[in-house]
Amino acid sequence: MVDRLTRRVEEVPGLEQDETQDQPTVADLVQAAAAGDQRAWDGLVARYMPLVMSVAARYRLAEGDVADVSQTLWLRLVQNLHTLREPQALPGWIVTTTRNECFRVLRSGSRVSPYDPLTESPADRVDLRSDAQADPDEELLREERHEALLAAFAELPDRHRDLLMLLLADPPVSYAEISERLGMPIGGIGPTRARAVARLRRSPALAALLGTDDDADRTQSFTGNARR
Amino acid sequence: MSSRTFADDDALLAALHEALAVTRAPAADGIAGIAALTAGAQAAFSFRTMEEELASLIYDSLLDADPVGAGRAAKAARTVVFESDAVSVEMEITDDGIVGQVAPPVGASVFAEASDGTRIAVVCDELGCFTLPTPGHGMLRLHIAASGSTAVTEWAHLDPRA
Repeated sequence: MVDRLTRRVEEVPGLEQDETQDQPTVADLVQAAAAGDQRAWDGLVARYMPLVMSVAARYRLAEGDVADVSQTLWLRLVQNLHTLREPQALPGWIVTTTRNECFRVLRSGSRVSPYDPLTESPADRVDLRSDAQADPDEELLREERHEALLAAFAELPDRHRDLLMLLLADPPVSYAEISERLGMPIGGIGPTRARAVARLRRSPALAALLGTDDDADRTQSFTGNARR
Repeated sequence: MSSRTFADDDALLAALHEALAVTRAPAADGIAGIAALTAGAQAAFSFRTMEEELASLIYDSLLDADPVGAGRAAKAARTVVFESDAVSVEMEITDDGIVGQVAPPVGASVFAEASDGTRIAVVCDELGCFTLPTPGHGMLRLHIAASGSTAVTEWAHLDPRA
C-alpha cells in the first residue's frame, strides 16, 4: 500500500520515472539472479544478448561457433554473478569475455576448416572489418558506437525497451498495434519515446561516447591513437 | 564528431536500429538466430552452483607461450592450474588425455562435468592423481570435495591447444 501511495505522488506529469518506477534495474536483476531467480537471469539474457551478438559478429566466425561463444559467455556469467559487485562493470565484462572467447575459437581453428599454424597466422582469419573496403577508423568508431548503444539500451527499464523495440521493428508496427500490445494510450507513445531516448543519452556508456562525461578523455585518446 | 553526437532523437534511434540489426538476422543452417542463442543462455542458469567455492584458473601455459614458439607449443603439453582457498588442481593436457593432481589429496572425491551436462566420475589415487580423457567439444569443470570443503573449477576449454 505504501508503495502504491508513493508512486501516485511521483506520478506527476513531466517527471520521467512514472511508467518505470517499479521496474527492476540491471543491478536488481544481477542480485536476484545471483540468489537463484531464473526469471531475473532470463531478463539479463534478453537485455545483453544483442551486445554479445554484436561483438561476436565482428569476427566472422564459422558455423556453430557463435553459438559456442555465446554459451561459454553465459556459463561464465552464471559462475561469476556473485563476484560482480558493481553492475556498471557488467557490459565491459561481457564485451571483454566475448572478445576473448572469439579469439580462442579463431586460435583453435574452426571445426569446419581447421587452421594450420604453419601456413596461416591467426591474424589471417580475423577480419576486424565487416567490409574490407571500409575505412578502418570509421569501422572502429561504428563498432564502438554499436557497443555503447547496445550497452545503454540494455539498461533501460523493460517498459522503455519494449517500446523502442516495437518502434524500431522491421517491418514497422503501427501506433495502434503498439498501443494495444503495451497497454499504452496512443497519445502516451510520443512522450514515452522521448523519455526513453533521454534516458539512453544519460547512460554512462553513451555519455562517454558522446563526450559529455569524464570518460570521454579515455575514449577520445583511444580513437585518437587509432587515427595516427 | 557530428556523426557521433546524435543531434536529435531520430538520429539516435536510427543508430540504435543499426546496432540492433545483428539480432534480426534469420537463423540459417548451422547459424543460430537470437531465439536459439537465448534458449541456450537461459538453460545455462541450471549450472549455477551455490555451496561450492570457485577455484579460479591461476595459470595457463597457453597464455604464457611466446609467439615465436607457437609452432613448438602445439606439440607440448598444456598445463593449467586452478586454485581456491582450500584446494588446488593442476592438469597437464595432451592429445592423449588429461593427467591431473588434486591438493590436498586427503579423501579427495572428484567428478568432471561437461557443458553439455554429462558427468564423468574421476578416480584419484592416494596422492590425488587422476586421469581423464581429453574432452571433445565444449567446456569442462571439476567438482572437488576434499577435507570437508567443496570447490568447483572455473569453466574451461581443456583442449591441448585452446
